[in-house]
Amino acid sequence: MSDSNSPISFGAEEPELLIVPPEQSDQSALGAATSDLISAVGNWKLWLRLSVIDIRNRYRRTVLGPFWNVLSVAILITTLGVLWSTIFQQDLRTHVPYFSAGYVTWILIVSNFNDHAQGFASNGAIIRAISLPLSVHIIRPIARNIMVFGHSLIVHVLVMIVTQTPIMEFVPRIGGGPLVPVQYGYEFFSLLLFPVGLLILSLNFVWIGLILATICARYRDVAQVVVALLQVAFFATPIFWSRSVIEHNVLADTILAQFNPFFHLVEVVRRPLLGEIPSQFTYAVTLGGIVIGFALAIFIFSRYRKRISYWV
Amino acid sequence: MTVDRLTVEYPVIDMSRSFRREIMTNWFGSITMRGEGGQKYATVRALQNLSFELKDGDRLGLIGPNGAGKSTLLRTLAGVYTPTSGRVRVEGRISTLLTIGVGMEVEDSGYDNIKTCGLILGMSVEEIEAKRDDIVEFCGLGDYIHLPVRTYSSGMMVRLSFAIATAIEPDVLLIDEVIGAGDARFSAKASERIEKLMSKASVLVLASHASATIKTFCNKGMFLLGGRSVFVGDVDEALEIYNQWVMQGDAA
Repeated sequence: MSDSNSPISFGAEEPELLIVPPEQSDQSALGAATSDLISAVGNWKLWLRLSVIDIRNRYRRTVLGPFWNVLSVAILITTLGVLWSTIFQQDLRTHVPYFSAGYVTWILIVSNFNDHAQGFASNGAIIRAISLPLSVHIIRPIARNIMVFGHSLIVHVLVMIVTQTPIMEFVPRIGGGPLVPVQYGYEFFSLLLFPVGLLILSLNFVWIGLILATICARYRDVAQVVVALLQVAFFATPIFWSRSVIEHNVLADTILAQFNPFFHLVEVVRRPLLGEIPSQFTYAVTLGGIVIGFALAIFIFSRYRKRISYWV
Repeated sequence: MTVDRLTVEYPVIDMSRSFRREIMTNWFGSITMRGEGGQKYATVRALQNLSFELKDGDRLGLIGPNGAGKSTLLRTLAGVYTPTSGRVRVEGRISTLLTIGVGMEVEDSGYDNIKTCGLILGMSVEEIEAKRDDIVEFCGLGDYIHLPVRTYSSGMMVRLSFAIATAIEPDVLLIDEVIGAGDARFSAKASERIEKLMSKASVLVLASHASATIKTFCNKGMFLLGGRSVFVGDVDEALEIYNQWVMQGDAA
């Protein structure tokens, strides 16, 4: 490229490269990762708007809008709920609400996992153009999925009304028919545990999302592995079948319920939806998950945060 | 804004094995291999040993051929890329216009996107509401502002993006190439707006390989070649050297 005869030489002789360590003084990597997360949470007006836009875009120019989601969930729950309660020979009145509560929660979990696997990878354009807290791309899908969950919840409420589960004591009775006693009792207290459970689930997804999005930004295969594993997890977790089915088998119960993290993530939201209180072990697992998970996520995120913009 | 001996290297993740072998046998200059054994990966040294300083009112034009490191420098200044070595100090509020239409929701109207993009760029809701009319007026899209962004031409996108990015009244404005897509009338308007911003003590860094664009907007010039700064200083001088380099290439 350089021509020695020309009056100006272009990049001919290069001086020895001086290595100046990158600026470390302002804050450590750990502090930077934490403040990234905090400022992302604080920027709620942004992620809330973006997640609303996401929902709007998904159903743009459709007649039913978000109620397409309600309709598809409703069809699935009624058909599969009836089918499985027949196959497993369970009481329709207890099994269908159980399935609908578990299934709407499962949709929330699965869509969070899938969105987080693409969290950074699919937002490459923004990440490479604007210095925005990266955690925004984690919180945005969580907010979006909770909104979708809110829509799906309508189906569960309808199921509760139709099957006349004891929650009916708190809503006006339709037709005045006698309430059929069901084997679980409804407690008002458990209704308060529903938002708590939703919060615990969402907090768990902040750390899961940070780890997953970071790994998947670098190793794209992981996203495919996650999709494959989640399909198995749906069948291996008591969602469409009751835990009581495997209760007699200690080994199966230990693997599929007791030590199945998906089970506890589902339980912490599902139980309050059915008017029950989640077990202490469920709370121990999910709350403990937040503590350990956040420590791990901040550690991984702080190590690789600066490289993410090169990976996406 | 201070840049001191800045070097940026970035890893190349996707690479065919054959290309990897090629690098190992004959080196490509700015592409080097890092790591050991199976962990080997290639890195591109996009910027090497860059030092310069900009004071309030400085409008730096980055000029150079494709792959000279102009965009990488802008991204590093924006805080997107982290220096491999060296220091970058940027003081004040940064606004970027690096990719056109980034953060825009194509299905939403331009009017709605003002809010979305404003939030992404770090404006508060009150600030956006206060400046919305001004932005609408400046981009001069008329009734098109209420149509979905997907119907916009690239020139219209530039108008809107530029109007939003400058409405922030940033201390540091970083613009990559894109501005060239606007028409002559817009160019005059944009230049006027930047002039106004600069009077409020801001710094502009603009990358382009079009001499005319640089001449319109900048008072300082930097000629980048292969990630190294060949010349920093007066804009006319920088352009002259650049043109000389272009001619030299033609001759050879």
